[in-house]
Amino acid sequence: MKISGRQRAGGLSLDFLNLFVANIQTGFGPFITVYLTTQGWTQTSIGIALSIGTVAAMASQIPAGALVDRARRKSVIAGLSLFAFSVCALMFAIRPTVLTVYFAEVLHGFASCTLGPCVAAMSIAIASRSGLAARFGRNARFSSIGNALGAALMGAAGYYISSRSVFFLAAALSFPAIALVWPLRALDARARPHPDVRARASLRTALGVFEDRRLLIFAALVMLFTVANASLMLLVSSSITEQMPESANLLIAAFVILPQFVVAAISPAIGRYAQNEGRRTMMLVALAAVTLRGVLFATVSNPAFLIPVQALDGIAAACIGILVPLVTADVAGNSGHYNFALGILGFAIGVGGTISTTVSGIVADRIGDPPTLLCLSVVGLAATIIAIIALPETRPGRNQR
Amino acid sequence: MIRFRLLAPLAMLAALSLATGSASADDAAPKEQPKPAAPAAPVKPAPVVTPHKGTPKEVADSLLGKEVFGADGAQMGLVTNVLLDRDGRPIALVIDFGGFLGVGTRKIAIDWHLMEFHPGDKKKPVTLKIDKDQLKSAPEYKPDKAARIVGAPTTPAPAPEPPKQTGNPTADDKPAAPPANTGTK
Repeated sequence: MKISGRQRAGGLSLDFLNLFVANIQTGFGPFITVYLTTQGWTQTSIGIALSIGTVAAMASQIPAGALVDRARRKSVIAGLSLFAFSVCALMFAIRPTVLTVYFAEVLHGFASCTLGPCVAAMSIAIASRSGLAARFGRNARFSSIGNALGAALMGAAGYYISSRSVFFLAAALSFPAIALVWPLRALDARARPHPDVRARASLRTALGVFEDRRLLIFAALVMLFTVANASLMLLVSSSITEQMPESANLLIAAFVILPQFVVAAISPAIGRYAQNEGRRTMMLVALAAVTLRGVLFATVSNPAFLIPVQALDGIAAACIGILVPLVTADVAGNSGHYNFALGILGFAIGVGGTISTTVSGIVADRIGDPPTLLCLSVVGLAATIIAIIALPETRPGRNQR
Repeated sequence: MIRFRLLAPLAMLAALSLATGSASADDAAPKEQPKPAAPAAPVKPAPVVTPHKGTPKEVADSLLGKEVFGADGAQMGLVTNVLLDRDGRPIALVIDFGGFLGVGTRKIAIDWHLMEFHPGDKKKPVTLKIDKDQLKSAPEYKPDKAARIVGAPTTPAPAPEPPKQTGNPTADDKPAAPPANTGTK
């Protein structure tokens, strides 16, 4: 009884931790370009700074995962990562010189890669094996609420106060998030792998994760999903600005925020489906949604009709957001290399995102937006077919804990 | 907490304006001055006043990253680049329009003569006098391609510009001399 009460309290902390993290991360998105532009940075130097951040985040995914695996106190790592976020935000806000911006980009990239696995590991610690899908469903729900709130708050701060105030806001929001980690330290003991597993864990067993065909196929599919998904939003929102310059800001705000509401509404159900119908089914739903979305974006031209299409993004985002930590837990949950495996998926997502934005930019220049959207759909379709043929079900049997 | 943190940039701004705003007592005349002076040497005008104190912000101010407002006072975008011809005359400003938190922005090159500059004015440094319909389906500016400048033909240049007027008579075509790209380094 006592344990369940504490678990409920921990669950609430975890809910709101997800909310705040997503909230803070909104400030570190594409808005950095706007802010550095207002600081007199040229587009070239902004591009270099952002590339440094992307490379740092991608390079640290797998090492950060391994580090979190070895860490005895995941809550401490989570708290330090959040503190690093506030340091980065303040560096941006107070004095965005080349050196501080590069440093903040690298630090933020690394801290993101340690924080995500910590939150996932603490989620596993708090949930039962069969309740894990539901737990990740809640995580996705609260993250998306945080994304929507962050977009609204920081959008308003950027518009009405100054673009600098966005980073002060992000820094300030890190402290309630750190306070939320405090009650979660009770989970540290449970988040630690079993001593036997820990003793056996080595570089060789870590590399064994790469030999798991289920994880590799899933990683490849998540990467293809990201290739098909990541630049849809960029292409469509830029064409909205082209067609309706006077109301583009509000339309794009709706575009950013609507999927978050969809995710918040359906994530628990998606978590349940992932448990009842299986992971494979939900992955097919996500891939079908991104394929359909690309086709609809390419064929529908009235921006007002584009908004409901954006709801498909919410469906796909909810599925992927839940499946990534969940399938990893299915495959590597008891190996002592959970976060390492999660890092592999994070790396695959990073590669997919980079390919998507770079290649689609070049392709859209040559052949225009609608054909590019169709190309992205073809990638989604290919991934769907691969998933039908090759993706195994990873849901553990009912006799397991 | 938040409120306290928000005060810091305000304090910094105040300190900045104290430091820079001290020079140039009569600001009515210099305010009009930069506009005709602009075509001659726009990016760095020759220092006009007081060599000891430096050129005040009301006479010469930086341009990159300044906010652009419409004639109706609405925020429109940010200056990201200046296009120059061979003689160093500005032809167009590249402005990053639209978007929400940096998503969905679009760079468009707009004819220099549609701009009004208010150096030293923190609230409205640049005003853009353009019919918003002209921005609709305006071609996006790409750094590595011939710039297609919006607004050049419909509005004649306010300041007489004798020799170079032939340089870009047609707007949406390539200018005869491709504008040089400044500020990329």
